[in-house]
Amino acid sequence: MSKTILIVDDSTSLRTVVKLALSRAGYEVIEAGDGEEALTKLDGRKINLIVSDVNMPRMDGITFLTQVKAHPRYKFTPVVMLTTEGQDATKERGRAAGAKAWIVKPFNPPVLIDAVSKLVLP
Amino acid sequence: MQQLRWTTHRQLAAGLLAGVSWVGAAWAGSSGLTSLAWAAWVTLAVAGVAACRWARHPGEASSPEQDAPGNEAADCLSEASQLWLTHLQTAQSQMREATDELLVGFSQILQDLDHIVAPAEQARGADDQRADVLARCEHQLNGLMTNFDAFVASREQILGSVHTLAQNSGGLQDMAEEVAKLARQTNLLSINAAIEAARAGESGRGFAVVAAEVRRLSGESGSTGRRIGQQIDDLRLQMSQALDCARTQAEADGLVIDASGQTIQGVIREVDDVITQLHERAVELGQHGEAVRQQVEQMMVAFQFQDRVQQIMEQVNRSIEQAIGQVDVALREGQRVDRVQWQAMLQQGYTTDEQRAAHASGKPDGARSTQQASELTFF
Repeated sequence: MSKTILIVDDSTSLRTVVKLALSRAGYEVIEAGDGEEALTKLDGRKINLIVSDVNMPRMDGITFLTQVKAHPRYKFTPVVMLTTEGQDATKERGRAAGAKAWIVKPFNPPVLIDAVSKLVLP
Repeated sequence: MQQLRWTTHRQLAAGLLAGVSWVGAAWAGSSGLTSLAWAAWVTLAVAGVAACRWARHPGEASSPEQDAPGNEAADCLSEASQLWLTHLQTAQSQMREATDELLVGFSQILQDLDHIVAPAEQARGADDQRADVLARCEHQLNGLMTNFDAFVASREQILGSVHTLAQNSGGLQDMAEEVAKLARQTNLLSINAAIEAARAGESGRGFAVVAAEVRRLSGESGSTGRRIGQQIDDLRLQMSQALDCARTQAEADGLVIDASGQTIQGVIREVDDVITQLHERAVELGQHGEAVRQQVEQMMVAFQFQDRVQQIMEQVNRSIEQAIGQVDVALREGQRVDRVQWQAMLQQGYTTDEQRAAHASGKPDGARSTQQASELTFF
């Protein structure tokens, strides 16, 4: 049974590229356009890993990450931040909120796949 | 004093345009757009201000407040800023939609390629399948040749029997000769018996009748013996002709079977060659398809620029709105703009390193390529 990954990004084009990379690596992919939509997409279902942007409308990635980690079902779900933000201070905010990895866009698909494969829950 | 304030306001407006200029330059540099795009963007700004001035008719009544140079400049800037933002949002929207459509198209191309381009495992499987098919064909055709050989062998066995029969017919001919010989001897014996019966006179008359009957029978026996001999000769001739014909046919069959065997081997070789060529062609097509697939994947990855451009432009939009708001207040109220707050406002909301680098240097920063990208940190 394939593992399910939730992609959270307000850019449709970015989601398309990420989804393509993950699908070709054998993962099932669910998409959300921002943090709020992502929380509704979780909906109690089994998610093996989350890939999230930081700067998004309505609910940004750090807030979403904080809420995920506060959720009893998803507090151990690994979250990889995929963002244009490369500043150490912002990274530190992500780490403190519970992110497992930080990838600065633009990304190379093999790097994302490598990070996902190392962190994804069985 | 009024003149002094207006001079300050003009400096502020120039500052605003300069501030917007470097933000726009950062966007143009990051997105890889040409300087032409940036020139068009600046032209839009100038055109907006000019349009505002042109729109005010000379005879139009106006209040003293409206006539104040600061208010007029503020109105122009406000109108121009709305125009800039509208154009920027139009450009963003068009670029986003076009990029999304392109990516959907590329995704479809990749899916199609996945179906067309067989993975290496399948190619190896096809190779094994080809060998299996050829081996099966060869086995079946060779089985057919074995059947032909068995058929020929069976016919040769029949011919051997016919040949033996022809040889044995020689014995029948001897037996027919014996019958004829016996008939001749019986005939002589009957003649002698008839002579002796004549000497015996009346008493030998009955015996003479018997002797005559024996002579007639010996004649018929002789005749029958000759007919048997004749028929045996005819049979031997026919069998000899049949054997000659069969030998000729067997030689011809042998040649046909040899030729058939060579033809079969030739067909198998040709089929093997054709399948090999087809396989090589398929492998070649697969390699080209894989190259195209990788190319499309790289292009899709390169389209990430749209996400960065989008974020930069969104920040520019917000920055323009805030800047116009600050300048508007300054112009209308005759206040100076706090330079520290102004700089903080311009930097607010940066999301990319290019924006920060462009701000620090005052020059457009080159776009991050995917080769430079993927800075990965594990926590």
